[in-house]
Amino acid sequence: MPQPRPGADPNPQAQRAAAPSADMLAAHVQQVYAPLADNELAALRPLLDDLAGALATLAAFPLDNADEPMPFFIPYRAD
Amino acid sequence: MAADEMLDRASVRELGRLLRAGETTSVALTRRALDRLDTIGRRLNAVVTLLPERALAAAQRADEELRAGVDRGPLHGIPYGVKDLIAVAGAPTTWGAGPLREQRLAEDATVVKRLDAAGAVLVAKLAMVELAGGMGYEQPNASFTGPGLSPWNPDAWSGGSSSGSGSAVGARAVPFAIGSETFGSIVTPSACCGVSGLRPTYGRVSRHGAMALCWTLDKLGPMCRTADDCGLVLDAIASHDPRDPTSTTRPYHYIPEEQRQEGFRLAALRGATENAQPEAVANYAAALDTLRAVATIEEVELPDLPYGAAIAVILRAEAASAFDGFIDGGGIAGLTAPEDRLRPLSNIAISARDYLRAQRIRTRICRDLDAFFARYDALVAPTLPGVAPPIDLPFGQALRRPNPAFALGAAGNLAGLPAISVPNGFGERGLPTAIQFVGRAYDENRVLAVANAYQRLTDWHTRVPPL
Repeated sequence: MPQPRPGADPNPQAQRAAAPSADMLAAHVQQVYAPLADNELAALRPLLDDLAGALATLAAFPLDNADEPMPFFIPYRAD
Repeated sequence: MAADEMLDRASVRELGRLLRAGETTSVALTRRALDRLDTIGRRLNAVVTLLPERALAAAQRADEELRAGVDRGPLHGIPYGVKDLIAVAGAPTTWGAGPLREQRLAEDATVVKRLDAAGAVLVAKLAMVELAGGMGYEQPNASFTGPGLSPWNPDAWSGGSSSGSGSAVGARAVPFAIGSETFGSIVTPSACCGVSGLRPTYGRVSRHGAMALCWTLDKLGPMCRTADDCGLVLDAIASHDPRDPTSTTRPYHYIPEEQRQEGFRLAALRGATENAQPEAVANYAAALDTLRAVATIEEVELPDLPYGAAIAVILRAEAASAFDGFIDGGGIAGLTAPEDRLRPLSNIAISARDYLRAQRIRTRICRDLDAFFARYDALVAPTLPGVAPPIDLPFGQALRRPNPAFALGAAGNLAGLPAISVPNGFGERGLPTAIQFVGRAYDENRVLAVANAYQRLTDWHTRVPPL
């Protein structure tokens, strides 16, 4: 059974998520684009730090279960 | 003043009067525009492709129609340029990127078709930051045509990503141009080049035929010599387009005669000049003093919401998708800015869940900002905390000062709000400074009314660079 992740709040009317760390993001980038040289990884690191910070900010913002993403889905009809 | 020089200074509205009075012709205006673009425009790295055959044929047609009593409206016979992410059949559409310099698209973009129908004369495809800056460029030299240069000082950046549109209008090479904005790409070059640039409400102008960087943020809009001209151009290009499902069915008409000229209620962003250059601070204070003649001004703060984080995640995730094959297939290796060849790889790390959380927060942002902006005709702030940066400095050293105007840019683009940037003085190295007016969604006419009122009280928009 996975343990609750730090920062998460399970209240469905004020959900807070857990954000990935910069290391987790870096591991994912490496997995997809391997092999990356050390200097390439080092150049990407500040971007991943920024991204991890942005994701942490968003994860800490409480959302209701009913908060829909923008843009909303609209069914399509040609006529 | 020589006749040519007078034409270079005139607004679209003034040129229209001269055309109808028989004091100039569309062919003369078009030849003048082609000549200035080929000389000054090329020196400023503002031009990708000139279109002399198409332009002169269209100008001749415009003159014949006027002589026959056929008048297509205020843009009839007026030359213009488009940012090179807008498709024009028969010409390359490079998106500013070296690997795509031979790309040809089969059909004119809707915005070009609309301007054709309005009688305007397309003379050039104008330079831009590669892929509209979506790969994360960090310095001005990020286009295969070279860094865009400000007409006010060739050692300074033109701003981006609509660099050529800003430079060409600022250099008085074309009366107006079409730019695009995902996050700052119309208002920034407008400020750096001393022109009036309107970012319309998201969905106001069809993007069919324009490069997609971020589907939920991309907008097309006019860059002109005056705010009034921005209204004239928007009137011609705003429309619902079934080929762009995000284009709005809300009608738009620019009727300046019906606009208020005073009694505006403005909000001024608190702390808007934090870390700004001294001249930008002084020019902003002077602009507020001027505006008090026609407006009440209340100092405000934006609702406290995570604008910067949300726009970063949305923009980076959508750009990663819009260019997934180009990135994964190695297309980025041919880009000009070294950082653009590597930085996009980081965006793969954004999960679908993280992207959707950003879009869910965006819904809150849109609702809260609508309630906020409903209380004012416009919010005023400096467009940038200073003048255009030097072309040889990375943005990290030149631009990234903590300043509330950054949050305003993120907020306004996330919520799809209209904004106009107009010049309000000069600062370091003879470069222009600017203020912006941001309004409620679909209220372009209110921000235009405020900007028109400001330009009636000042003459910064009439200044011409020493080229």
